[in-house]
Amino acid sequence: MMRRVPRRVLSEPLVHFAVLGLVFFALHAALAPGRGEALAVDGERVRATELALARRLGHDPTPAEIAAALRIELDEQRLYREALALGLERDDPIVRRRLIQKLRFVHEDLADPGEPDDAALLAVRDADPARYTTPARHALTQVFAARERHADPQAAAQALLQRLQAGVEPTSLGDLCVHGQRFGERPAAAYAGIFGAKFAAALSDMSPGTWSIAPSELGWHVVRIDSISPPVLPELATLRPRLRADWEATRRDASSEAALAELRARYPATLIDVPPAMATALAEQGL
Amino acid sequence: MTRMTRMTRMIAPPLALALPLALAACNNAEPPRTYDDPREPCADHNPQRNLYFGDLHVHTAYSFDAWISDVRTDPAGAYRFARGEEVAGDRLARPLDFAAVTDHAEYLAEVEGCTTPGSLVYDTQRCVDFRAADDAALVQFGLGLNSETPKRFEDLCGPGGLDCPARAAAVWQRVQDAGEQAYDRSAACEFTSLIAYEWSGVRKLANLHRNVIFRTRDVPAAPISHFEAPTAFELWSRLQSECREGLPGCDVLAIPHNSNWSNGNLFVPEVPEGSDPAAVARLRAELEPLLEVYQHKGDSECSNGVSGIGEPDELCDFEKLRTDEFEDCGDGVGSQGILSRGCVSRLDFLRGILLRGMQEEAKLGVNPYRLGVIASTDTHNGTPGKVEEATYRGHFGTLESDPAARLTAAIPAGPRNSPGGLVAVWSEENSREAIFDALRRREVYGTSGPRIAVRMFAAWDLPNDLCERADLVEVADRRGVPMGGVLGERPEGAAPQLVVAAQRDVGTPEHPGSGLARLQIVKGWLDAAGDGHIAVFDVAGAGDETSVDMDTCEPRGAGADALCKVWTDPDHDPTLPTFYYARVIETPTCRWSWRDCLTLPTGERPAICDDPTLPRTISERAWTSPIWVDPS
Repeated sequence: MMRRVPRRVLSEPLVHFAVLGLVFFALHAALAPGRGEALAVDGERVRATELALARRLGHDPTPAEIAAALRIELDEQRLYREALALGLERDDPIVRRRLIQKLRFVHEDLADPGEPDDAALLAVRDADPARYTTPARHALTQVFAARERHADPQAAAQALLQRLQAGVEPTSLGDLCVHGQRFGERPAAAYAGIFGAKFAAALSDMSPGTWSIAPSELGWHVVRIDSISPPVLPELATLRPRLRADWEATRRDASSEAALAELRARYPATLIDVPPAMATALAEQGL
Repeated sequence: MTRMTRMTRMIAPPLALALPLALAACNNAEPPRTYDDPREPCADHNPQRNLYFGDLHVHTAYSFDAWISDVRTDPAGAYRFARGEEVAGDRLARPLDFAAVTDHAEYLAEVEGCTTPGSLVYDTQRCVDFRAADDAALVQFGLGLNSETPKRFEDLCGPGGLDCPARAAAVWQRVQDAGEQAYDRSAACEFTSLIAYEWSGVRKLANLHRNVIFRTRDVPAAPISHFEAPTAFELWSRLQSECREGLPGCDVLAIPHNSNWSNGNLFVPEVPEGSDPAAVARLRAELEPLLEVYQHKGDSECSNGVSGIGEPDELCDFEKLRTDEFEDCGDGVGSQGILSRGCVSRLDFLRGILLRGMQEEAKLGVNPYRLGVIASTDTHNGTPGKVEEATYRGHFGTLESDPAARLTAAIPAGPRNSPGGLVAVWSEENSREAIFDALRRREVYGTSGPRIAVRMFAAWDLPNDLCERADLVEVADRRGVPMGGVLGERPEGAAPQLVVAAQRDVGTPEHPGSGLARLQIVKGWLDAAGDGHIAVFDVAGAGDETSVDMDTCEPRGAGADALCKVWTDPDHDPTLPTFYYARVIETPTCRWSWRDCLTLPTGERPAICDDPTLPRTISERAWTSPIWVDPS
């Protein structure tokens, strides 16, 4: 990337900051407009270069500086044209990805956001209730038998279970856990993050108020569920800001999808030697 | 933005859905909770504090340097990503508990104007250049932040252009709206958004950046940026007068980052003419209780090769952007840090800053740098919490979207960049108030990415068997102070004791976490002459007994699930100011860059894959906030 930056520019202390822009610069230089324009230098172009240079350098450029900048511009246009003439943009993954991305942005911007009413927002929620449902949450007390402290942590947990069932206070039992013994109501994902997925999965089978044992990534635990909040699909009032944002995103996606459908119609794919089952599948996909 | 009716007090109703077991006795004994930012009381409340992970340094398309990298994820998208939803083709394996979008406050209006077809300035040459990511445009945007008398661009914000302050306020409102959409105000308390921005001042190309984080939705009408407050002192003064004193419900803190890019400038004490040095130090201490020690632009904990911050420490050779022979700034400051140039100062690193804070306190009676520790990502992709080495996708949009591009990129250090880290918070619950208050009392720490759990307390008298007891937190809470605190008055003849307990990250089924290799305590103190000293103690763990298969990145050997130590300082001098913090080191794993190299055929790997100065492994870690012991 460095070689694309003219030596003269690099020698300018003011533009050392430009190092940060080198990668972008190179990419965009390769994509700058100019294929059909005549390679000409007129008074207007000199003035435009002079102005741009003045901004960049922070002083009025000399004719030599303007000329050097123009030479770079012209050379880059020549290189760009020749690169296109040689077809170097074809099969270039970076160029391809960038063009695709630019067009996708254009398609998304075509969406007219408008204003959704309550029914439209509820429709967003009810189209994907799982996404908006607050998961079940468990408050619990756990007494820990660390696998690093017991040859058989499951047996150790069983022994602890008997003492807890006999009414011994949990605070006096078990191994150290940095998270402590008591947890407020937290979702299974939070317990999975602390003790692993096996522990989190075991919670759903436990009866509240009684002690039972569960494995984790760190050993075994004697667990008592202290309270449960069932999953809840929140009311519109609670979800409104999120639904509003998702409604907009849906509109953008729809705009994108509509543009793609139009492109599929405009550039249909010819099927050659495709088995009928596959042809049907493709047709079902609208391809 | 729709707002609930403002309530100054909100009494916790009985948990209607909870089964009537009344077993969580300690929860019920607590007084009712109040919220300045009205919400349902959190059902995850735990007086012994839960551990939450978040990211407090996140850029989206609203930041000029992210938009120009083709990033189009907006603040709402970034929050959706933090909550675990798929955004721009990527998703977190584990959602975050909280996040703050911190777009550069400077140029919010200009970026909007330059990228909105039909705006008054859309067709200006500067905007055309900006959209084309012209290097000169980026230089000009960057240099605009490098002035003591910054001015907005005349062609964009002058006559005939945008009303930039008004447009910036409008974009700021969208930032707030995105935070509102993401904040879970239900009793589930699944996710907390904090309204925030980045103040992006630079001096002599040395970094002075701060993230400004608000406690509630009560925030100033426009962000106080480098244009309104060209120096840090002006920023603090205006945050104090316009938020903390001038706006009911408003509270705020500012978190400096990348001191490693500051050539000493970020933490050299500065007193504006005519000001009382102690008052300035007090203001700074009030507003800046934390330092972001790690993020995508490297580590700011410590460095070998800088004088005055202790003996060489091999674990300080960690995620450094600079590998050149640098000059030591000594007692001076340098320039060009953001270009990875100029001298390096002891004040570029946590250890030197903490020592300097105690030296200032000896002079002024107030410690301006009693700093807790966090880490974050500084993502410019709108992807908060995307910290795993194994799934790193770069930081600059499409420019770093494949292995070869990442390994050969140059901004700011390509293959030496890091995915960044997380901030961990010990908080009673996941509400804005509780998270913010934990940040303010510094009961927080940073990790280089993994979700290592670590607690630290100090006391004058701890039971020696604390690591064998399940009630460690209860005992330590009663007898001492947690990380971030200041240990109280010393009983005659007592020496400070620390207890540090860490648990490994269990990871996910796809990417299991690593074990723990080492628990360390870092001690800093001033001697009788006021000179600073650092000592590092290995207190638990087997050390370097594991390794990695460099062809497959499979670990060889496992570290510990948990490490714990009750430690008494053998050499504590009660007449000398002292601090302690802990460092938890994981067993080594493959660094993202080596994982990228392995995805490429041997013959097609860039030269950096064979560069011995680029580490192939990383010893991930956590750094706790310190505990201070003042002289008695």
